[in-house]
Amino acid sequence: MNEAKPILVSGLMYSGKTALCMALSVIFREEGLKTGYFKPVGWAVGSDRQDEDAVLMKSVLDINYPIEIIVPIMLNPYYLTDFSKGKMGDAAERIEKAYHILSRDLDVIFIESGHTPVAFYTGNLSAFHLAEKFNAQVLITAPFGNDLVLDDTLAQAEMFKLTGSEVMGVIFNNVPLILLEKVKGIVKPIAENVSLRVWGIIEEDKRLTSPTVAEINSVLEGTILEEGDMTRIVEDVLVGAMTTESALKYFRRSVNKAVITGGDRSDITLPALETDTAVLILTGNLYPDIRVLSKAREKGVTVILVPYDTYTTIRKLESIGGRIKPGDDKKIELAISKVKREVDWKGILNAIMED
Amino acid sequence: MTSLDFFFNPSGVAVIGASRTRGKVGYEVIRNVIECGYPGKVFPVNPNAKRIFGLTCYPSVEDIGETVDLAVITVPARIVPDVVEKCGKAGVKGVVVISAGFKEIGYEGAKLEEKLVSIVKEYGMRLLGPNVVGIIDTFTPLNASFAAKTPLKGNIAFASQSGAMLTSILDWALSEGIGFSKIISLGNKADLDESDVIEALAEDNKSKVILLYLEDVRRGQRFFDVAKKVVKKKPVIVLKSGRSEAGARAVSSHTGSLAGSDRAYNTAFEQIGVLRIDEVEDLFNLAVAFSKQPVPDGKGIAIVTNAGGPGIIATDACERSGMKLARFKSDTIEALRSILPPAAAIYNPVDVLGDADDARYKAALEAVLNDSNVAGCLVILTPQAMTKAMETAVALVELGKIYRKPILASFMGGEEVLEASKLLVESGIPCYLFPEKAVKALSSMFRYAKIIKKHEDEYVTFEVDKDLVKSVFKAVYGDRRVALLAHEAFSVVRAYGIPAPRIALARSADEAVRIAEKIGYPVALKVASPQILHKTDIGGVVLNISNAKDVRKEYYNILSNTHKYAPQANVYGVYVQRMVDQGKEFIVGMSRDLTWGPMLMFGLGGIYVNLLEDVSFRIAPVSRQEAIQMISETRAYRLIQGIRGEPPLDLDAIIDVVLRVSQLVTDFPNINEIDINPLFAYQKGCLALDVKITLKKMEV
Repeated sequence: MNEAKPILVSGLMYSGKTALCMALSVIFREEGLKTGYFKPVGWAVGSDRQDEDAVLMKSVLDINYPIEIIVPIMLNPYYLTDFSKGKMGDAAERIEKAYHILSRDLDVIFIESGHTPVAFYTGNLSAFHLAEKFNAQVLITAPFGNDLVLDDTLAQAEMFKLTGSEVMGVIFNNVPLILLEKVKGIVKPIAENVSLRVWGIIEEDKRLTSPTVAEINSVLEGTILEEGDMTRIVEDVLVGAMTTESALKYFRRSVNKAVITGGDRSDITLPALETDTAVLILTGNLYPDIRVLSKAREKGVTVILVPYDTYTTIRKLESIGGRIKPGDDKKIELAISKVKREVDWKGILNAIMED
Repeated sequence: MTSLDFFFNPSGVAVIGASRTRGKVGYEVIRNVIECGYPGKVFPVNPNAKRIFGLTCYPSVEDIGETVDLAVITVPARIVPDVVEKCGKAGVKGVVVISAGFKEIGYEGAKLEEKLVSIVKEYGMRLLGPNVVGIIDTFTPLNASFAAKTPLKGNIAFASQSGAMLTSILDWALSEGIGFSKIISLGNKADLDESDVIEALAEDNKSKVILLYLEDVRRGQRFFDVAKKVVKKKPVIVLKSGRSEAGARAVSSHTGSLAGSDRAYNTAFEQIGVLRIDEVEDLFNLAVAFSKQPVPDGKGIAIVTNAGGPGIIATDACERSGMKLARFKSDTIEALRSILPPAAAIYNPVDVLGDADDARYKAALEAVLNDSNVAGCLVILTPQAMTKAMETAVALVELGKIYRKPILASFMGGEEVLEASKLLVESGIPCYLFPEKAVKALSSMFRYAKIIKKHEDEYVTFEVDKDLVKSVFKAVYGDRRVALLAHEAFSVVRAYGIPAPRIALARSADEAVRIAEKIGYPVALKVASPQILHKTDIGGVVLNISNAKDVRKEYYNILSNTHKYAPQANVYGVYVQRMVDQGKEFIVGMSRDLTWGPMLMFGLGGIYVNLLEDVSFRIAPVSRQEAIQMISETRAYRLIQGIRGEPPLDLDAIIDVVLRVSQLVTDFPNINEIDINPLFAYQKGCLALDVKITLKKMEV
């Protein structure tokens, strides 16, 4: 029986690690391989009990094991308290046990590291520790926002090499349109010149990094006055505080948008509903005219009433990253098709199976 | 006869929901239908009664078994669809649904209304309403409404979107002695709307004037086409509420839909030739004038007064409303000099002095009305000791019979002039309490005279490349955008023959330099991002770059400014454009109004356009005449003609751009907005220097 080949995917938060694990897992399965997913150290954010990435992967990959096996250790920003008390003593053991269960009968298992490569270094659970422990090949994902990202990536790669791990290469993710040519023409050659293979350059797609109406609703915790298509992706947020004539012109230019305004402003809400709007957020607990709600229902637009003001609403919206959740079939399909198109997955597959 | 004959002159009327209980709507309606003197058969329908008002009451309209052209329905909303279906089966042609509880109350009501409309269509019937007061024809006569009284007979047709407005005006009209031919309550306009009503009224020989109270126009383009034809036959006077921002908000709430902008309404009404007024009173001040007096044929008016003060007020009002005081011919002046005392004013306005009796008034008026420069006359009378109000009124009435020129009176007073005023009104001379009101009415008659004289517009069509535009749009939609990038917008306008500079997108500083070298210095750099509307404001535009080093430097500056001020914007790169000669800046644009469609704009351009707002509007498509009018209405026109020693600009080239934009937006209804700002105009030719186009999102 062949042992599963471990691939450690390392990178910063929102670099698309999970999406990449998911996409490659699915694609490899289409090629006949048995793939799996493992996240040794999970991250508890706020009131979440479970690691969201693991929940997604369990659903998409249909993993038959309990979430506690997929994510054996859950940490948080204050984990040193437990660490100092010796409460993390058996962490290594639990991780190894879980790994053996999960990786049984698999050809390839993707291991997702923490939300930064160095996270949990103190507890010997950083990406570097994990790669070494499982003797995994390392795939780095890097969201290319500016040139300094290459510096970070090269340093990361070097650190892996120094700790004895083999670095397969890097995938540049979330590359803004305007930098695409530069990454292809300048950054890639530089990386490959120092033996860092570039397996993919993925163009930014707002549809993946944008939240759905459902996600917005869960962050706002308002009252839903009209429930429209909650799976719609919201790519833009506009505030309605202008005159009616300007409102229509302004709203017309943006598609898949959220519009924030007071409920009493039917001169703003109606133009918003006339144009392509995914969700209408009404502030200050100002209930709108029923005819506005009729129109929203007619157009399939969700209307959410919140008690606070515009500024607070925007602050809350800024905190949403735009994750892929189980059931976000559109986003899942999109992520998989992007990886198929923009990543040399065949090359990765061959490189993995060669060893 | 009108196509809505079965509403106004039906063979057989059923009142469904007729009631014996006083105070109920069903009671008021059946009583009105019976008592108004309707000559045909009346059938009350109510399963709970055997006889109502002495007439056999039927359980359902299908049990009647005789011809019923019109059904008036007052039953609760939820059973209306069933009732209407029965009407359909019984061969009813028109239904008036007085019942409320439909679209105006929200979603559930809207659904009910939809159902109602589909049933009506299925049986080929027409529907007035729902949520109406009813319908009245004073000639048939027929009062199929719950209005308290039947109005007087007259030649004014009145259609109102507000039921409450209608009933209160009917009451007032009765006390004022104003008569109507037809009264129509429009209600929710689920089927019949203002376009259908005016179309029918145009053919109605009993109606000489059409009055409309509207909160919105349901089908702008249809109204535009229909009304343009109707106004040639008779005047259409419109009071449309919601002019102010707060008012518009109220209208939106009231109707549940976003009305087009008031500016668009105003533009449309002017273009059509509809007379728009702002005060309820003016609806009737104007209507009585049109109803009784002939439309003037000429330009000048004459004012004859026995008091200087009111005469001057009237003169001021004339100037305000754009009317001209006639210059009398020399024989008129001679005649007046001989008739009037030396102290009298013999030039317009004519002051016959406070001691004028009816004879002096009559003589002066004869002289004035004989003058071919005088197309209409305003007679002001204040009660002085020697004034003979009644006799003067009689004299006016006689003069009115002789001269085919409009005569309006303002008898300013109370008890002293009451009887005289009444006589005037009854004899067909509108009499107003105050001269300004009379002037308003008179000036609208002059405006109307111009409207009917206007020639038919001729429209031009240019040779254009529609396929190229289609392919550009396809690419934009494919990129999941609705806002075009500059080079896309430029190629669209060029495809329609509008000159625009060559522009190329650079995705790196090196590429920018390559392009600059190719097209030649000096160049301008502009950030390429559909999200950024005002590039100059965020440092996204740099002009007059004359070497490679600066191109590189400014390329990065632009990107960093963009990142600083608009970090969320999608940046496609930086445009490189050849610098052109400075021209005079204009703006040509289009915004698709939700009611009226493509509204063209022309005016002074550049960065101060929002400050100065020297713009004019028309609904497209426009004829060459309309384009010229549009342009000449602006103060910017003087710039085109040439001021302060500067040579004139190429007016034809500018007109051409307006006409081509008109054609583009007519050919492509999916264009929501176009902004050509600035359009550089030169002595010869012009150039669209910056173009923005926004499309409507298409349902895929």
